Amino acid sequence: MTGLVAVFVTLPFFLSKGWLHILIVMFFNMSYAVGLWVIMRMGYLSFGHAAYIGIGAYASSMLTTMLKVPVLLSIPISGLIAAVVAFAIGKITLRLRGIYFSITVFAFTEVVRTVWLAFDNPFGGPAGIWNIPKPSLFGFKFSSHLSFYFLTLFFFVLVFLFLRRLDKSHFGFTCLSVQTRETELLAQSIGIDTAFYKNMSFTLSCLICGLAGALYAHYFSFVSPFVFTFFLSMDLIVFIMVGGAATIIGPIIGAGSLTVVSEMALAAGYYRTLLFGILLILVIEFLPGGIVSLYHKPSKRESVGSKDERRSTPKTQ
Amino acid sequence: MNDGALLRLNDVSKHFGGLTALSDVTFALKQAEFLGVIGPNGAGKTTIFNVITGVYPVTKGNIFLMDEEITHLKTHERARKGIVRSFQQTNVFSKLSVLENLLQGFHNSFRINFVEDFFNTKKSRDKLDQLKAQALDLLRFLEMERFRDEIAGSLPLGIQKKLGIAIALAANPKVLLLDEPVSGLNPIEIESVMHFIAETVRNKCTCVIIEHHVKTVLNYCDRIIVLNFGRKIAEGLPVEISKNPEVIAAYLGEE
Amino acid sequence: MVELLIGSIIEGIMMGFIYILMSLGLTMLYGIMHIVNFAHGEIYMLGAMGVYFLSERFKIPYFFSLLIVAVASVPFGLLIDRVIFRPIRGNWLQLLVATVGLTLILQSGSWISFGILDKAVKSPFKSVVYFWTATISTERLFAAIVGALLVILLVLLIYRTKVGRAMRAIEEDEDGARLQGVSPDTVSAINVSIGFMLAAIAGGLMAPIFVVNPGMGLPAVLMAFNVVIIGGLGSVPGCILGGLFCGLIQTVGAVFLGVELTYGLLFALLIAVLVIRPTGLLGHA
Repeated sequence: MTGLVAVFVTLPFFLSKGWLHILIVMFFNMSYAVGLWVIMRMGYLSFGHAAYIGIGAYASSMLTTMLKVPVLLSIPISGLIAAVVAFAIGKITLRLRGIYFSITVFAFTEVVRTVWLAFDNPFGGPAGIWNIPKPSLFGFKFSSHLSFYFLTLFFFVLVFLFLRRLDKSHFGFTCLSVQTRETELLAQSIGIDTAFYKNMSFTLSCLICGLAGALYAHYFSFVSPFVFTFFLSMDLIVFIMVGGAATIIGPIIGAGSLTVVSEMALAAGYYRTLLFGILLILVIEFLPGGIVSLYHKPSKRESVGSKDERRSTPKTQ
Repeated sequence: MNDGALLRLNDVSKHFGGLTALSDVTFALKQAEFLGVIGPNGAGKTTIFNVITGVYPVTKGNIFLMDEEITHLKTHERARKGIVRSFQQTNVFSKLSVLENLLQGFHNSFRINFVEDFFNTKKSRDKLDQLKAQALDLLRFLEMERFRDEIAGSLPLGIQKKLGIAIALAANPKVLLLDEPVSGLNPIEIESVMHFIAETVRNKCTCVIIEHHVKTVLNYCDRIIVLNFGRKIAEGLPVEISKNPEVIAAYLGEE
Repeated sequence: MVELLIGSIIEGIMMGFIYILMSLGLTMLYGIMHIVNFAHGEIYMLGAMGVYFLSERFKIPYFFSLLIVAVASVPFGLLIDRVIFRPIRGNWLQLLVATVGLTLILQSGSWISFGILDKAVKSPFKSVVYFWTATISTERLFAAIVGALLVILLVLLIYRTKVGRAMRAIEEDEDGARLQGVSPDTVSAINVSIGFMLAAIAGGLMAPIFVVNPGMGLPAVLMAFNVVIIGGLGSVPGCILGGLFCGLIQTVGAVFLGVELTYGLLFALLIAVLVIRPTGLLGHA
């Protein structure tokens, strides 16, 4: 693990701007992916996580351009805003299961995007918000690719360490009891307040995505409703499914490999989506546990949604 | 109000739209007795459990645990107060190991706030070690130690059923509701699990069992309640129930 | 004002039948095979695209184009069922994700093949229809009539034919049905084909009415889910009710609230239904 970090710390000095950009995007994608994974491993497939990335991004953009809040302060605030929204949405939607949950959060994303598109003031409408400032710390401005690389790397490592610690904690262990409607009922019957664990996980998941989204806004200096679309939400799902949904390494490998591969294949826009769609189907049909299942024994914490589970019924308690 | 009854249901009814699942059911569960709930298919047995545990809210009536009314508490709140239930189908966490399953069961005993848990303080670590020790003790007691790292879903069904009951035991129940704990087992396994329940489990807490197989219940339970079409049609000792004409009619009607 | 209201109610009922047509395939596929087909909207889009391609590029008259698209959707459905759905049947999460993958492929493939410009399909109708004081677009009327006819045909299929009986058997108890000699594979194939066909026809009918572009599938599938969830996932009568309901809300709501806010209203209704009665108005428990 530390070896890997050492590699990533020394590597950038040898790389061109182009490659630095790819790696920066990769760290963003990894952050989004592990963020989604937090709630996905509890059996909730969110089709609308782009909304929270976007909320974080828009919030930070607006705080820094309109209220002149320093960037490194506005990012955590924006993350918190995304978390608060997620908490409210979660209260309603987490009582649902399966497709009902997925569709509802997807619908929410579209509602949010409609709001951004409709209001030129303050969201900038279809044009979005431009000239978002770069972060600065004690006078040092993170304007070069190299400096932003380290910033993003630092952010991702922080997120990873946090989540790994959470995974090993009792909280994380208890979250394992909520995977399907049936195990959730079982957990409740032995005293576990599953609603609390679901809500916390969902809020945390969206907090991470919101923070990452906020940082993203300052890297690209520009946000618009056309960035935080259904396709972005689906990207995250593809990352997790291709990498493997069972452990935290899966989303990381998935996001990492797919970001690099799609950049190298010069697959952009719809070609990229086509590639991801094909990969997703291939993985589902032939390697449902994702890339990590090639190395781990498939028996432990395998794919959710297997044959012995009941069909997706709408509501839990 | 309280005459020593551990769990008391007063005129409990449950309607689903136009369908009446339970109708004015009243009974009291005495401390340390082994109560059986039987009745033909669709009589409302599982509904009764769902209502007691709070999976379904009652349409009418009250439920008391000792002196405390629990009619409006959520499922996990009732479990914390001592009403624990095992399920017929999904009664284990199939993707976790046996030891992990039991640890989930001991959740009630782990009282540490999030911060201490996250930062893995000494207090938290000690507590976790304690829980693990308790879980291992329970495993040893159940003679299931050799399964400790096996994934629950890969175990033979009889062992899984036992594990399901063990998880419920770990939650420190006052009242343990067993929903068809031997369904799907062969006669040898049935005897093994029922023996386990009758000899061991019932000495640790007050048990209520739903069972399809009338003979099983007659053999093991202290007292029996019979439901039909959502109503309690009989209540008494096994020997009385087996002779009760209404009960016999209800079951014959099912043939 | 009253005229406006009458007009919008008539329009709402017509839109309702169109929504029903759009959503029937979705609800049937879930009710019988427990497949949540997120790619449903893309099939709809392909139907519209197909009609565009045939009628504008190859100059095939609209009605024939529609027929060709309807017929072509059947083998396509069979292919998808055989290759993608069948191997993973039973695992709802994998099925759902697979249909997501299918959505990505179909939509991006269409963007690449057909380009980003909006397309227009010329309407085969030359005039409008007058009903009382309201002016009704003939295209919508035609779509509504076709929709209603197909619904009736489908209901007859499900409740009056052997095939329909087989489908209902699988829906109730798959293992039991299998023991009776009903093959889930066959029922699945038929189900998927019907679902695809209905979606494709809906798309083809909508082609002269709305703008055609590869992105039209997403709002369509969202609408279809709206209809189906409100009506009850898996219930055909629920779908009918839900479709009419949503159609009316949309048109009548637009009169009072404007188009944007009606989307918000529908979303709010969706949430309300999911919170209060998640199985929908007529859904299975």
